Amino acid sequence: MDKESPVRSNVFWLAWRVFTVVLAAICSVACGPSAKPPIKEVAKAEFALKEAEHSKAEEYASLELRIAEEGLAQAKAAMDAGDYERASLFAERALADAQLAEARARAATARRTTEEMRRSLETLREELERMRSLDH
Amino acid sequence: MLRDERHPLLSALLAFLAGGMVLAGCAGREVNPDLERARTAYEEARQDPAIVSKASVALYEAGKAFEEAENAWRGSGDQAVVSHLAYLAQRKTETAAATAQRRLAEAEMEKLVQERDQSILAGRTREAELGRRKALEAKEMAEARALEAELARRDKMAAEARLRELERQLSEMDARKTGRGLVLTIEGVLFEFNKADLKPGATRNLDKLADFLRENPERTVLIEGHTDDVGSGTYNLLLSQKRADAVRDYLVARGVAPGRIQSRGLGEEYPVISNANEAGRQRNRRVEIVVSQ
Repeated sequence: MDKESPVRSNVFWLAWRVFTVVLAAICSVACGPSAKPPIKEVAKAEFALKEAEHSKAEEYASLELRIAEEGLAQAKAAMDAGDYERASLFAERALADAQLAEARARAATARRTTEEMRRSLETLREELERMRSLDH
Repeated sequence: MLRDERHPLLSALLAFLAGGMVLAGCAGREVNPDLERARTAYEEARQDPAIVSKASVALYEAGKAFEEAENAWRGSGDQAVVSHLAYLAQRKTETAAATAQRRLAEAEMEKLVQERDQSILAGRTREAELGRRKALEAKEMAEARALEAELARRDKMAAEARLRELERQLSEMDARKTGRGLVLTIEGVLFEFNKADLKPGATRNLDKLADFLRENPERTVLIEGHTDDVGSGTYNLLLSQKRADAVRDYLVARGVAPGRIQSRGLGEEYPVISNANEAGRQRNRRVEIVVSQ
């Protein structure tokens, strides 16, 4: 027993080592995305930001756009600093912010266009009314 | 010994599990304000029929994000992670609301465009109708003008015919065309011997002359009175003047402007026939009317 004891304890030690390595491996696979540079997330956020800018977010959703821009900048800064987890979070937020900016800008544009159309329709109707009254 | 030697692994495992459960349990009781805000926003959005109908995909995305946040809250309980996911859910819910607003505005726009097109169409139809009506009016106007012109032409023709008729009648009154113009001789039947009054019933020719002069306002007349040779020359001159004046007064009374009529007495100096007998004298007691051409 005494003789075997160090051997057995070595075996246990080995098993523990194997277990921890496997655990680490599993962990690294499971938490892989945040451990890797979130290039895709940042790119998506960047793209969404461009879309928002194209939708005149500068004009109609400037605050949302600003927040998205700042989020993207923070994501990039975190990426440069090697903090990929933070970079990923910021990129995700920037994406959501940029999409909101775009949605609000497009909504505002649509409302404005509709308002203009309503006014032009009113003018048209007044004109028609005038024509009609001149007619009779 | 075996139990002793297994102990570290087992105890570590047990401790890990217990710790995890405790953590999870603790987190489960702890309210995350970001998650609650996201919950409120999402529930409100789910109640909004406009968002449900107009932004179903965006709302679904928001719901998924919210679920993820809630699962994280129930599971790991990492407040930072939960807040992060709640933030994403909140933003997605807001995006869904904005999308619904845009779609509503676009639907409204579509309706307005249709109405505008209808209005434009109505305007064009009206314009066309107006144009048609104007064309019709113009046509009617043209027809009316043509009719007017035709009537005027007929009037003119009738007037010319009447004029010709008058001229014919004038010529029937023994009007002779001479170098001085049309000379109309009204013989003694007009006047009794030594009288300057027009005989009633002798005025038929004068009426025709008056008509003719009214129809031809550019013509003027010269009335010359003549007598037979009975009586003194001076007296006859006077008498012939009176006779010419009587004819002039008659024409004026029939509507001929006095300015167009000149009258003079020529006495017995221009007989047309011998005064030897009564028949000749009667022919010499006459008035000659010269109508200018």
